[in-house]
Amino acid sequence: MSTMGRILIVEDDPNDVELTLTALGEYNLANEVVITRDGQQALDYLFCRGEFHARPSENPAVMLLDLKLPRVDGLEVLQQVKADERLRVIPVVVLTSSHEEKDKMRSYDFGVNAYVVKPVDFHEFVNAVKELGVFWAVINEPPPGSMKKPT
Amino acid sequence: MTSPRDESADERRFRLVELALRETEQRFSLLVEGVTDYAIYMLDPNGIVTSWNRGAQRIKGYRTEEIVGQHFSCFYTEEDRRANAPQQTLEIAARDGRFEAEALRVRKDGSRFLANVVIDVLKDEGGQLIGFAKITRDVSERVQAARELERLNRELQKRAAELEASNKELESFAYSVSHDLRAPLRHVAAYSELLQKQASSSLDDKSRRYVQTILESAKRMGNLIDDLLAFSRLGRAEAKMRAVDLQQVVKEAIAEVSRDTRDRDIAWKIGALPACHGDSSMLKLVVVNLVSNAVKFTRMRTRAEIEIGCVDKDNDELEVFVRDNGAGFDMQYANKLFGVFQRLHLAEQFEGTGIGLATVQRITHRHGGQVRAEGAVDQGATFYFSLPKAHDLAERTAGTS
Repeated sequence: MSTMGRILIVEDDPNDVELTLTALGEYNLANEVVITRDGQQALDYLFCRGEFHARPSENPAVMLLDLKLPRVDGLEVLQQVKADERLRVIPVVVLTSSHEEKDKMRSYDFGVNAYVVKPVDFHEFVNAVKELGVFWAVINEPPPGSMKKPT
Repeated sequence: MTSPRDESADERRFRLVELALRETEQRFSLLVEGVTDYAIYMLDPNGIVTSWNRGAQRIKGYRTEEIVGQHFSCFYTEEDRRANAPQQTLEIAARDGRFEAEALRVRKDGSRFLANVVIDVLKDEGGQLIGFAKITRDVSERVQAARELERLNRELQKRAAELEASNKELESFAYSVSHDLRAPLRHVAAYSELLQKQASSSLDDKSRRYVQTILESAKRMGNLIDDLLAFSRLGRAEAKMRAVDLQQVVKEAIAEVSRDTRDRDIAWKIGALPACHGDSSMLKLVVVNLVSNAVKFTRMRTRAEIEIGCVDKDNDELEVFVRDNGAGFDMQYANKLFGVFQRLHLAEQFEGTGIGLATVQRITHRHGGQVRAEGAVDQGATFYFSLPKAHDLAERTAGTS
């Protein structure tokens, strides 16, 4: 997959990180993945701050964002991303356990691009992550200049 | 020509008017005298009591002969008297024509009470001050009632706040269940699945069955949590009440369960269903639950019979029923049917989480209706739910258009 963009995962649960990577790995989508473990770290990555001050500055192809996170929660991350001139073009997919209508409403209010409830069934989970990965990191054309695809 | 005994018309009229006036005055003074809820009495221009009614005696404790001729300042508290309040009151009344106040007054026995006092100035035809009319009412009781009302109000506000807090707590509980309990559950399912895949060749039959059971249990728990959440959301969701075409609701509900009925022989019998007043999506959920139960519990019949109909209850309610010729139930357990997670059958016989009838009951209660069930083992069951009828003709025709 030479045309694949980088996937940013924001997930605090190590099991979910492993399962997401496993799902992406089954479809060879896992070679360009950045994992951040809370909202603060995700923001540091996105804004090239702290430990990420020297990272290549292009945007990830997609961000898979959990909502319930330590320090800074997912909705706050989403809000900051969508309020930033350069970052707001990043497709953000909320990937959460929460069925709550309130979370869905607020996510869409803040401009989320997709909202996916993690299925209990592992097959469905693998399918969901695969389709998200394929769609956003491979099929979808990002806005010009948002991300430099690796060649 | 007119004899001295003869009255002129004017004179006669004058005499009659005078008579009527005197009569009115008498009646009026009797009326005033008889009033017991108000102290009504007169003062001369200097503040000396000149008349006294029964109400005044009841409220202030003085008899007429004790008080007439006394100065009215004895009704005031010691402090007010020292501050010259009685005199000032009369001055204000004389100046403005009227004085009104709510203040403490003193009874004959020295006890105090909160009084509402109104003083009106009395003047003769020439505008000369001839005295004051005073009306005093004991408002202690009213004030006490107002205080009690205020206390109850505060209590109510506190309760409402407590209720809101516990509601919020419940919501955050539901949220935790939704989010925090589902995560480990997903992991149990996912890792069992990975284990199954990874180690299937090295596992013996027994171990494979264990892993399979873990997977199925996790899935079942996931279903239970989802059902419980949907049930709790039902309590929080706002009902959109309007005219509902029950015939249409039933049609949609049957269409929804049709994928479970494809290879079944079911004789549907659907009676006339009138319009009712309710939330159409909630009512559809009621019918879907009852109909899919009927489909499920008639599974062992070669030909299932399911009847949906309506009984007009002659008041503002109608009662809808869903009847089947399926497994039925023992009436002795009828009260358990509508409980959350209550089941009367083994999971191997009939699958399900036990939330369906609880949902039916909850929605029906929210509509102000009742649920009930009749049945006998192996003789089928009938489930009833009552609903308010469509409010008026407009709703009835809107519902069926």
